[in-house]
Amino acid sequence: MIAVPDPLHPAGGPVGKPVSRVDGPLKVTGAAKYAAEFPADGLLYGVVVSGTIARGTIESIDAAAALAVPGVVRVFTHENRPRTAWFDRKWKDEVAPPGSPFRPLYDAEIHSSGQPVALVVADTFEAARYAASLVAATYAAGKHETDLHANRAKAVVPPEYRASADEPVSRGHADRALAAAAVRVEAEYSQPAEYHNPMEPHATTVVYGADGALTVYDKIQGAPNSHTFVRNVFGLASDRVRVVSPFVGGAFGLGLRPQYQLFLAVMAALELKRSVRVVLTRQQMFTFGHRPAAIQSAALGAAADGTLAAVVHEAVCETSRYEDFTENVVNWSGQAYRCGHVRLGYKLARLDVATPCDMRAPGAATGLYALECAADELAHAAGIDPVEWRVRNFAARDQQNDRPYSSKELLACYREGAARFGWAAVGRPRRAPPAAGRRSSAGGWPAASGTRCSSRWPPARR
Amino acid sequence: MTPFTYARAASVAEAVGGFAGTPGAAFVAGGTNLIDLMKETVARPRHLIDLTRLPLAAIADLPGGGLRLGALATNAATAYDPRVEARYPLLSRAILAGASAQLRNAATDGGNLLQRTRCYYFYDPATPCNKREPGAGCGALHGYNRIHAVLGASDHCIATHPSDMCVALAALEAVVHATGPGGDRTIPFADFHRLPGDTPHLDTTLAPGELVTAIDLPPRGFAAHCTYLKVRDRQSYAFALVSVAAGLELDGGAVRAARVALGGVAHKPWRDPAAEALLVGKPATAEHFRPVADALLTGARGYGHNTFKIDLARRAVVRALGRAAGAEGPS
Repeated sequence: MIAVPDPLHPAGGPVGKPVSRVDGPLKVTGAAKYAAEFPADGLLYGVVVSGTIARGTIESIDAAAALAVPGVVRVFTHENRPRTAWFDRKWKDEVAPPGSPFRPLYDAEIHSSGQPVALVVADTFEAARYAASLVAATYAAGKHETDLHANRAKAVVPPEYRASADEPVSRGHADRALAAAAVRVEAEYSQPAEYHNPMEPHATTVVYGADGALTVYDKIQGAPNSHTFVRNVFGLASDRVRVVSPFVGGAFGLGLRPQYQLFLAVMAALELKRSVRVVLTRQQMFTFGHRPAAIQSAALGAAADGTLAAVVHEAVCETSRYEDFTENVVNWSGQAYRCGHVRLGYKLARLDVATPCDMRAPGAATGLYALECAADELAHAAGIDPVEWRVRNFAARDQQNDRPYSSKELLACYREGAARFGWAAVGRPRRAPPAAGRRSSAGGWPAASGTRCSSRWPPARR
Repeated sequence: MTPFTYARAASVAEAVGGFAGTPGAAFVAGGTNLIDLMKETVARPRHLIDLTRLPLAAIADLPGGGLRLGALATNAATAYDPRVEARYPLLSRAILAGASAQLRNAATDGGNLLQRTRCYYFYDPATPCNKREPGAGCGALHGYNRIHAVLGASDHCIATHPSDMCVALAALEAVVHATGPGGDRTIPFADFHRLPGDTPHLDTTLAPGELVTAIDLPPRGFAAHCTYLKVRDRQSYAFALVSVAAGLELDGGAVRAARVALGGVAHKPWRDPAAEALLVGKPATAEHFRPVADALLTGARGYGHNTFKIDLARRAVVRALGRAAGAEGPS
């Protein structure tokens, strides 16, 4: 085997040492500017009015009281918004999942709770906020389905996957191997939707230039994505809009896709020919992307000595009705431990919710939670220390593709982690394995290992 | 937020008088709950009477061995008071299991008793809620009710009382002192909060304009054998799905007296002295704790998402009593 120098960990590099962030002093002194903090002459303030039903249609929006508030310049709704792009492809940002992207203020239809139904624009933030509270909308509410548990039976195999997700691949005869296994555990794991809600709320400041060109300060993890989105949706030439995002006050994946405040701020700026800022409230930060709710079932079988014999891992995750958000939830279970018989399943339940989005180790954090809990239960049922169980079932090769790993130091991690934890003293199972058909509530400390893809691409020189 | 006027009360009499003389008045102390509710337009007082300058912040010994907590003593000052820590560790632990350090620094003991439910529907004015708007209906009954009550609820309201502190106060049989237009009175803790019935907009038995001035802790503090067990979705800064305040007095291995109060399961801290009496004279072991748990959960009813709480509460009672007895590790 040839030792390849790791470009991420050069000898004498910063890994493992305390290193100050380059932008640290700016951030702790308040000198770093975020999207909502860039000034502009004659700036207008937009406040979003959020819908109050999860499904249905807007019957009417009465903005008269809001418009009567001194300082209010305009109230945008689906009834008076300017024209925008027609085709779905124009609304698809660089990481949009398969489907038809949400269009703010597009029509009277409500797709999810908290959907924006109006934007109030005023000379001051206070006037806009107060006027927004006066916008009166009435709805014809439809019967919404937002409960994953109640709708899990309606889940479907996704017809198409996102570029960053793959259809899970099964191998061997997992059900047969499970039935024949000496030790079996089966359990269901569910988790609610999780919201990023980073410290910096989503915000956009659009500076309307003297020549009508836009400088857009947007909360986004990749400025080019917002640039392409704005150009496509509003039909602008590339040099008529510039997107700047020097600092992001936390995003965790929520800043990967352009969000509705960007659309609303640009729309208002173009229409009013003024600079406009839109900042979402803490509550509105719960009205779009999130880690999808999930229900998972995991069944593991092992020989009497704990050797893994079968893995069955199935997941049902939520998505919106308009986009299929897929992620690798169960795929890890075909890789984590040495096993010839693996059956994996992944389905989506389309609910009346906003489309989920990536959040910190998307998919893996969901799927490995179930697999690792089940692995602990299996180790416990087999009467084996959960760390020892993992050592015994270590996968030295990528089983999905039958290839060696470039490097895998997990065995060393188990040893080092156990030593630092004092595992030998406290980690052993404290109680006898549970009787057949019963689950134990307390079996000593649990163990878990995590997996996440570390993607590398061939380098290119320009 | 709805516009309001503000006045700072210089005396208890002035506060009580000010309330009686002003329609739509509300008392405010720490403001950790009321101000949030005002921002959400759930609470819309037209006039706030600020109590924070009243001389009600002292924690003082009572003749006979009890302790008096002034209504304006902060949750933090109470939890870290050496007398509370030594004589009422159950109360100290319950307070520290709740909220955050910042909130406990601002929140007062009187206000803790009066905090409103965290029912999602109560907080969302776009949904029906009988507690917020009598007669509007209950969104939780057939909605998302994972955090809701399994005991003592009604078809009008299945909200829970969110406090940790109050669960310990119920177990300790605290006594609430109140004053109002009708004069001073004392209220046993079990009678302070009420069940929703068909008037869920009323959380407590305080009359309009009555003010909590102090909370008395009786001499029996169950300090030697107590635990506060809080089961929640996060280990920090989350309300209890189920909590248990348990105190035991042991005579050798046998139980001389037992107190068990449940939080997160009802419109008020849930206690049943008859269930506690089952333990008296019995060894402090799990087999004797289980009947207590079963008795406490008698009549429990789940509403779908929260049905898991019934079993969870039973097991939590057994574990909490085990910990209080010293059988299952430190609390």
